[in-house]
Amino acid sequence: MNLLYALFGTVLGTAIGVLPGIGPSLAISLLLPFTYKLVDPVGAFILFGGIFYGAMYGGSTTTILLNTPGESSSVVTAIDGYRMARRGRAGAALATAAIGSFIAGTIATFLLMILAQPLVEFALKFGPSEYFALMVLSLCTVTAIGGGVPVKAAFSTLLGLAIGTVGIENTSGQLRFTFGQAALFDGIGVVVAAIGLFAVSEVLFGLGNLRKQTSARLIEAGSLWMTKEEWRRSVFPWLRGSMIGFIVGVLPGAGATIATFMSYGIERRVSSHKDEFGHGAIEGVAGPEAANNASAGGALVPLLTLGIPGSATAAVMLAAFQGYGINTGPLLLQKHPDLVWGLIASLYIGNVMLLILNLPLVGLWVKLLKIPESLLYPMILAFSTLGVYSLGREIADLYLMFGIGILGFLLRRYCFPLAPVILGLVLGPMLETEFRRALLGSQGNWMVLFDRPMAASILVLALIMVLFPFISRLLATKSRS
Amino acid sequence: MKTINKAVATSQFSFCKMFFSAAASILLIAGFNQTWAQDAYPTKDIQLIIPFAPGGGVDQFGRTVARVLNDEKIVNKPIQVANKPGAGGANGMAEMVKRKGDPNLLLGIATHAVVTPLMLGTPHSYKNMTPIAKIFSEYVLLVVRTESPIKTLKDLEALIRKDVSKVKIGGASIGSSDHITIAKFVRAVGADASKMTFLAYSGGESNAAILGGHVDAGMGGLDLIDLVTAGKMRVLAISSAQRLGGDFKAIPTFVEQGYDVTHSTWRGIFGPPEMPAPVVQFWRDSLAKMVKTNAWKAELTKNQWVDTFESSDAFLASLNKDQESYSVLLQQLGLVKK
Repeated sequence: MNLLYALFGTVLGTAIGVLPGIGPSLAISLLLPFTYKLVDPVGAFILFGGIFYGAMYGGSTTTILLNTPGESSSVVTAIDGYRMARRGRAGAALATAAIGSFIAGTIATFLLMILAQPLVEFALKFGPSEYFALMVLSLCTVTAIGGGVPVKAAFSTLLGLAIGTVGIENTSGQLRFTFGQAALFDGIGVVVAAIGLFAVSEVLFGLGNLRKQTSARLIEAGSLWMTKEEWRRSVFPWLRGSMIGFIVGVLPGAGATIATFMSYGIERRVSSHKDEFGHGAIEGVAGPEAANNASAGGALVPLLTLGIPGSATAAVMLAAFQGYGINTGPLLLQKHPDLVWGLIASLYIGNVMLLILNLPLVGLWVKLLKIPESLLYPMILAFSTLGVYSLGREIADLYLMFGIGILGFLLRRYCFPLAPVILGLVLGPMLETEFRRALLGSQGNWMVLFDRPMAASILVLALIMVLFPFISRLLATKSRS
Repeated sequence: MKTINKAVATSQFSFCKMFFSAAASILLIAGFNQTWAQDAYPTKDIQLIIPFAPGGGVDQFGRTVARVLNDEKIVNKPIQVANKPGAGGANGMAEMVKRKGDPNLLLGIATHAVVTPLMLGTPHSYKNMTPIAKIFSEYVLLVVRTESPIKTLKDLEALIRKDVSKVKIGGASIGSSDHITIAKFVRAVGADASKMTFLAYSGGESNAAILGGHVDAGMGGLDLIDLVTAGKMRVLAISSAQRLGGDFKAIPTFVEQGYDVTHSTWRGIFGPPEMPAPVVQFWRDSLAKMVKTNAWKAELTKNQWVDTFESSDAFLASLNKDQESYSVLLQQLGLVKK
C-alpha cells in the first residue's frame, strides 16, 4: 500500500514540476486536508516525499525543452539545457538531468541517514555573517554566466537585486517601491518573475522571429541516449552537484536556487570545456540538476533533527507533522522511529521510481519539440497564465508576469543573460536581511562581517572566484615571458 | 433521437416544476415561518477565505474549523477554504469589503485584522467587517538556549537595564506577537522599547538562530516545547495570564514573576460587512456548538491551542481593546504608518 502512495506521490510530483506555477509546497498543503482523513501519517509522509523529489525531477523538463523554468531552482538549467536541446541533444540533457537527480537524491538520502546529527550542528553555527558571506559567494557565480560579457551579467544581476527590493522590508517592516499597491506589498514573486522572464519572453521572442527563420523550431530531436563522452562529462558534475546541493540544503537560511547557481559556477571553473558553457555544455545541466535534488534532501536534515524547516516545502511538511499531532523536534526519531525511517525508505524507493518513470518519458517529452510554434506558443502562454493565477488568484500577478515578459524580451533582444536576474531577485532580499541582521547585532560595527573565521573564509573564496580569471591570465602571460 | 431526448428532458423539467410548486404550496399552507428559514440556511456552499498562503498557522486554523464543522454535521453544506494571500491579510479583507452582504462568505484571520492596517496603512480593518467569533488563542514563549548564561527572567532584565540595544532578541516578523510581547517586557522593566534589537526571522529560522546562539534570547510559539523537553532550550516565561495545563504546567508566566506582561494571538471568524443578522447568528451558534464537541477539543490539545471562545459583543469589545493597545505600542516602536 505504501508503495502505491510512493508511486502516486512521484507521479503527482513530476506533474507539478512540469507545470509552471504550482510548486511542491502548495501541492502538499492542498493535499493535507485529504490525507488527514484518508491516510495514516507514515503513508502521508511517503506520499509527500514522492512529491518533494518528483517536483525537482519534473522541473527540468520544460526548462530544457522550452526554455521555460517554472521554479527558480531550475533557472540555471535553462542556460545550457535549452542550448543542448537546440543542438539536437534534448534527449541527452533530459537523461543527464534525470540520472543526476537520481544519484543526487540517493546520495542526499544516504547522507541524511548517517550524517544528520553532526551536519545540523554545523548548520547552526551559521549566523548572519556566514549567511551574508554565502550569499556574496553565490552572487559571484554570475561571473560564470555572462557568456563572455561580464558587464551584461552584472547588469542583469543588479536588475534582479533592484526588483528584489520591492515590498515589505524584513528587518524594519517598512514598505518600499510599492506605490500604495497592495499587490506589491509582498514583493514580486520569484515564480511570477521566472515565468514572465523566461516563458513569456520566449514566446514574444519567438513571435518576433517567426517570419525570419521558417524552420528554426523544427529541431532534430537527435539521439535520445547519452553518448559515452557525455556520460564521462556528467559523472563528476553529478557528484559535485550532490555534495554542494546537500550542504546548502541543510542550511535553513539558504535554498535550492543558491545551490544550483553555485554548482554551475563551480562546473564552469573546473571544466576543461569552458568555452562550451552557455552554448550547451552538459556539465551545466548535470551539476545544477543534481544540486537541486540534493538540496531537497538536505532540507530534511534540520526538519527531522530539530523540527526546523530548511525550505518552503519542508515547512509545509512540518505543519503536516503537527497536524497529525506528532511532536517534531529533537525527540522525533526517538518517539516515532517508524515515521522517520518510513520517510527515508520511501525517499530511496521514490527515487528509483522516479528514474524508471522519467527515463521512458524522455522519448515522449522530446516529441514536444515537434509541435509547430503556432500551437506551442499559445500553449506556453496558457499554461503560464494558469500557473501564475493559481498561485494567489491575483489578477495583478498576471499583469506583472506579462510586464516582466516584455522586460525579458528586451533583455533577450540585446543579449543580456536572464538567469542572473532571477539570482538577484532570490538573493537580494536574503542578502540584505542577513547584512542588516549582522549589523544590527554588532551595533553597526562592520567588522562583524569579517571577524568570524567561517564568514571570512567564504568571503575570501568569493574574492578568488571573481579574481580567478585575471590571476590565471596574469600567470599565463608571465609564464610565457 | 435528439428530439425524443428533448421531449424526455422537458417532461422531466415540467415534472420538477410541478413537484416544487406543489411542495412550495404545501409549505405556504403550513406557514412559512422564521425558524424554517433559519434551518434552511445555508442553501449554498460556503466560502471561507484565508488571507494567507496554504500551510501557515492561519491556514491550519481555517481548514480545521471547516473540517470539524462539516464532519460533526453542524453545517450541512460544504465549507470550502480559499486562500487569498498577500499584504499581511489586507487582500483578504479587501475581498470581504468588496462582497458586502454576501451570506455565504466567511473570513478566518488573526490579529492581522488589527495590526496590518496600522502598520501598512491598508484601508480595511476589523471595523469594516462583521465580527462573528474569536475561536482560540495562542501564547508565546520567551526562551534561551540551554548553554545560555541567562538563567531567569531577572538575568534578562538586568541585561536589558544595562543596555537595551545590546540584547539581541530573535523572533518572527516585525509587528508579530513575538515582537509585541518582548516589547511589552522591555517596557515593563522600564527600558525604551524602540531601542531594542529585535531580529526578525521567517519560518523556523529564528529557532535555528536561538539554538546557534546568534541571538541572546528568542520568542516563539508553544511548539517550541518540543525543543524544551529535548533539553535544547530553556523557557523563561509564557505570555498567558495564568499557567497553562498539560506539558506547560511547569512554565511560569511573566505575571507571576512580577512583570505586567500578557499577550495572546487570537484566531477568529468574520463575515463581510452588512451580513444578514440571522446568518450572523447562525454562525455564532454553529461555532459555539463546534467548540463544545470532542472532535474540536481533540484538535485543541493536538495543536496546543487554548480555547478562548468569544462571540458577539464580547468579541467586538476585545477587538477594540486590541486596537487601543496595539496602536499605543506600535506607535512607541515607530511602526505606525501615517
